[in-house]
Amino acid sequence: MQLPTILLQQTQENPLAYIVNLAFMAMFFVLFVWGQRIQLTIMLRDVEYALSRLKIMRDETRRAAIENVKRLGKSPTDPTSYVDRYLEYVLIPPVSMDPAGIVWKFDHLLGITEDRIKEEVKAVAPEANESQQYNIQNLLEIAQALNTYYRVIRHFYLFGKKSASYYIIIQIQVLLPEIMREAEALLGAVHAFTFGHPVGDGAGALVAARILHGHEASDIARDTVYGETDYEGRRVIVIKSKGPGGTVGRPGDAVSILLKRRKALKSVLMVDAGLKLEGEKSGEIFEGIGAAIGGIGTEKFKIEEMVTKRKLPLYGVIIKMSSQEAVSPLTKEIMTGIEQAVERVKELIKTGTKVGDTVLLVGVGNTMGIGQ
Amino acid sequence: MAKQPSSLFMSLYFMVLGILLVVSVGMFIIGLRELANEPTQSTIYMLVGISGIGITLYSLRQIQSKSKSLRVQVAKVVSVLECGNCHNKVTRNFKEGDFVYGTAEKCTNCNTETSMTIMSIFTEKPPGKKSAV
Repeated sequence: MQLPTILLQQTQENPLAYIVNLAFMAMFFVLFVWGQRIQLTIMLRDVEYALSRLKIMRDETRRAAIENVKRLGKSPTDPTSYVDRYLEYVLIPPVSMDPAGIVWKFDHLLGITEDRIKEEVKAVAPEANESQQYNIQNLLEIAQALNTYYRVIRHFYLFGKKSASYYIIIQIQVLLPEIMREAEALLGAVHAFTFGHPVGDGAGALVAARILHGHEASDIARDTVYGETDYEGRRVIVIKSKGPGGTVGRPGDAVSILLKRRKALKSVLMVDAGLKLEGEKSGEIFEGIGAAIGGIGTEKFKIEEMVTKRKLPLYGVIIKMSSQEAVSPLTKEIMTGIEQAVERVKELIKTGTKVGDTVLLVGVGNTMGIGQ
Repeated sequence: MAKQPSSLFMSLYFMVLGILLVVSVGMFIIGLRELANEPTQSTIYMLVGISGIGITLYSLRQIQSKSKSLRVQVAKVVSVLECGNCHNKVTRNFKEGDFVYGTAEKCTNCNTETSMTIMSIFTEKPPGKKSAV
């Protein structure tokens, strides 16, 4: 059998070789003229695929939220319309042209939001206890975040498609891996928030609970408690969010109140969960100087403001984890990190203060599934 | 608007992959059969065939990894209970309503009326069970 020459130099008349050569020339022409357009179509397909996944995630979370409200709240009315309305809620940020005082404006708006959601969840889930109502709120927040991701990506997708702009699509494609990772982490959190498992973000709160356990805890600020204990002759005042409902409390307010009340405080220690970098091990701890607290920044501002006024040393102990682990049930590695952080905090209290001193320990994080 | 990737596009995609696989395997076999007669052209046929098979397998693997990432991993969560009296530790599956430092069932080891305390709650093993979303 004579094989038709499909590549290399032509030595004989061969229709197949002509076709292949023609196809090569046509391909070169097509890529030269419509190359960017083809690339745009491929990128749009990637975005479309991500968008369809985001839609599934958003719908699944919405369904879980509705089911949970029905199951725990035994609502007399169908909560679907409430959940759908909640998905579109927005916090309109205060104007930042004159930034002086913006923290207090934000703080005020956050307070209003929390109060309103609390009241509404109470109304749609009347039979749920306080902890369950907090967990429902958390679940709604997850659904809201996924809905926002979905809407934003859909906006860029449709706008890019309409305008056929390579640069609009490339912007969203660059951000897409990070957005999808965040969205997948949130989707993974649905199960934990449905049943009230302690999550990685609660690592700081659990360290505080470990030290405070067995001692009385009293309310100090919104959803925040404090208690006192002794360690090696030092007085340790511990602040944590009030568990076991899913809340982060107001550690900034609590620190402000306690620093005003207790003049003899020698130092402030904060423990929180922190995002690890790629390649780092979950559950490892590291230390730093400054306020170990995330979020929008209002609580951090309050703590820094008060500590600076009092000229107190401020230390942070951070337990590393990924963004997915932060919203998923605690893993064994993170539990080991928490026990190590407890020991490190004790060591810092012992070495950083003298017998008779008073230290303030703040356990930061979502206290879902963690009592005191 | 945003269609499922498993719609028309996926059917076409699989059809193209199928054609590519058949043509590639065919070229590889022809090349292999004629290797003794026309070594240069046969090698080209075989290389084109192998490339086609490689591209098909790579595309299928990519589809498989994409469908995998649509599954949510549900972790098995356990609660560790400790008796305040005899310090006996019990690990059992998490029950809704459990929380760290909450009270649980009575200790079966020392048979006292004291309830055990939940000391920790965590996922015991890497998530195994998957639920499709």
